[in-house]
Amino acid sequence: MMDEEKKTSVIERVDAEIEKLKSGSCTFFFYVMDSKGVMNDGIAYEYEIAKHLHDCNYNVVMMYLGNKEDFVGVREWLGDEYADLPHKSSSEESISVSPSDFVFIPDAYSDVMRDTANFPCKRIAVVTDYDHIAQTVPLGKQWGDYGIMDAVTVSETMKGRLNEIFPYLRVSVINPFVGDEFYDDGEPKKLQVAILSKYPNDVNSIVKPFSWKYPVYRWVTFMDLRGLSMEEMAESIRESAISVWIDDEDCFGLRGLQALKSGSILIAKVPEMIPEWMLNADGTINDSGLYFSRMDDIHRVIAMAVSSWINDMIPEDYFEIAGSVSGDEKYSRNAFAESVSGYAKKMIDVRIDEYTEFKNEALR
Amino acid sequence: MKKNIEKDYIVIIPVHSLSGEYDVTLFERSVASVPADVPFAVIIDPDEKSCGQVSESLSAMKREALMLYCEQGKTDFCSMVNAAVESLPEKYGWFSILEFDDEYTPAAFRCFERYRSSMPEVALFMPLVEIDSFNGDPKMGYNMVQFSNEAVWAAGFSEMIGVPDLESVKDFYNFNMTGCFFRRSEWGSCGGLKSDIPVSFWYEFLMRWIYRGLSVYTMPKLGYKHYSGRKGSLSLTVEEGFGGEEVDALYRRALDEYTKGFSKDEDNELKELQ
Repeated sequence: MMDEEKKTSVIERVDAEIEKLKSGSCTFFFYVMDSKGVMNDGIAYEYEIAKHLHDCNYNVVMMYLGNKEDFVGVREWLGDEYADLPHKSSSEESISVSPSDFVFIPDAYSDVMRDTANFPCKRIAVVTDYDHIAQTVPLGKQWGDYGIMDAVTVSETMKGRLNEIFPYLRVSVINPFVGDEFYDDGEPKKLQVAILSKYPNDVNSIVKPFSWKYPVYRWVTFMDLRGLSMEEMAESIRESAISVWIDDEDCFGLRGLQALKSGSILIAKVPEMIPEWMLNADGTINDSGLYFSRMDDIHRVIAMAVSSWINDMIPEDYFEIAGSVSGDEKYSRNAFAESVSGYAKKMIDVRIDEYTEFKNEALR
Repeated sequence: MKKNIEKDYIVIIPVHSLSGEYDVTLFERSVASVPADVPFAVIIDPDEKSCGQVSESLSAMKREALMLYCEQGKTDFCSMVNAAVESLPEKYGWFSILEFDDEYTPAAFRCFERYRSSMPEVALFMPLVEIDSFNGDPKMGYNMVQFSNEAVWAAGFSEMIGVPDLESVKDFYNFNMTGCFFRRSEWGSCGGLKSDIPVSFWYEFLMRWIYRGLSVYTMPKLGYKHYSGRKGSLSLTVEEGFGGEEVDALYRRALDEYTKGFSKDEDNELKELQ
């Protein structure tokens, strides 16, 4: 049982934290990986959440590991608005975290989860790549051991998979959104095939064998979109008649949605975790794109798509289906904003309730 | 028969002669590839026995054509095309040339209309062309040999993808100009085809068009099928009568015509206009 003086002090502190929560003057910290100037959907996801909270007048700090001088960040591909969010090096700068604050930690940073276990605030895992978890959490350990009980992730499917491995985890889904820079301008497309892949090996595996197998189409231009900014990539996809998306590890499929929204015919290898938007209600794969499972099939599919396109034989309803999938309200910026605001409010309310209960316990 | 008054473009079919059932079948196939709502004109030597055959075929097909007749002695392809363009009614601001043994694809005209409405500044729309070769089958079996006009869609071919420019066409001959859609006003200012240039007259014409700064765009859509190897055709005559080096020489001659011949005069003209 606490002595009276200590009790009063604790209650005063708790009241102060509750007040910070109620007034919204708590801080949302986001640990982020350094993208080194290369577009990364997982990093973008965190930045979008942070930016929205910042725009809602919450305090936001982006925290990175490593030295200030080595940090490259997201300016080149996400832009100034995101790069100009407050940033701090957790290695070089002192960071004061209070109990009313929230710390978001990406899925690959299990070390950070471990090292911040004694933080007084609420810590939340951000999960965009399921594989990161198994790759980075040591054998015999799990997130619960680090006190991580909350997570946000990109889809219901991912939520299900997380709860299979960590049943105690309270997972909230915040769907990514297709940005405004992705749209179909109605202009005639160019006969070029945009390749949406993270790895140069994929590009080589597509382009070279295609020209060998289909020499009659060796003049078809392939565009490797790696290294472009979001705006540049959006423009290239919009101009391209066909987009080829390869990413076995992707857990949401944002790139594919962006291609659909841009009016580009989507050819894609079905990822290990099939994106929800690729599925019909009955669980079968829908007709929003030309999907295949074996990499060897990609060249035949591209040749088929090129032939259909140059013969102007793409069915009218293809673009209707693609449009309706990519235009689903749940992938809109508005829906994202509502989800983020709703999540922040929920976490704040939960925290207030926790502190209130603690205070009541202390008062007894 | 329905009068085609809605379209502002017309197809021109030059017919030198239809010798035999084979040619008649080809002609009818070509006409059939022109949609019913697209007007077409046939230009023919009035002395040719084929005049009657053409009329018979059109009647059997229930198709109506604007019949044009070339001058005596001017029955070469270039002269016939030039004469046809000159003779077109004013309302046709655009035209396309269909060789009587070739055909348009089903998508040709809707793609032209779509691209023209999006690119009103362009005066020459080139489609992708499929080059097919007759394999001697009397029932007109054929096989695809290659594409034509496709090179401008290869990365790095020209400065702007889809747009042939002087640098890129100087060393590249594989363009097929039949099936293209020309705006009459620019055709006129460019000066039409040169009948004194054998074989490579279309190539010289394209060079001239680009040199004069007239706009051209290759629609990345298959719009035309050119059949090579028909007995009596120019392409077969060239294949059989000329060696590879001779054909190259004919194209270089067209290049010379462009670089040494008219272009100097054109330069002076353009300077005077400026």
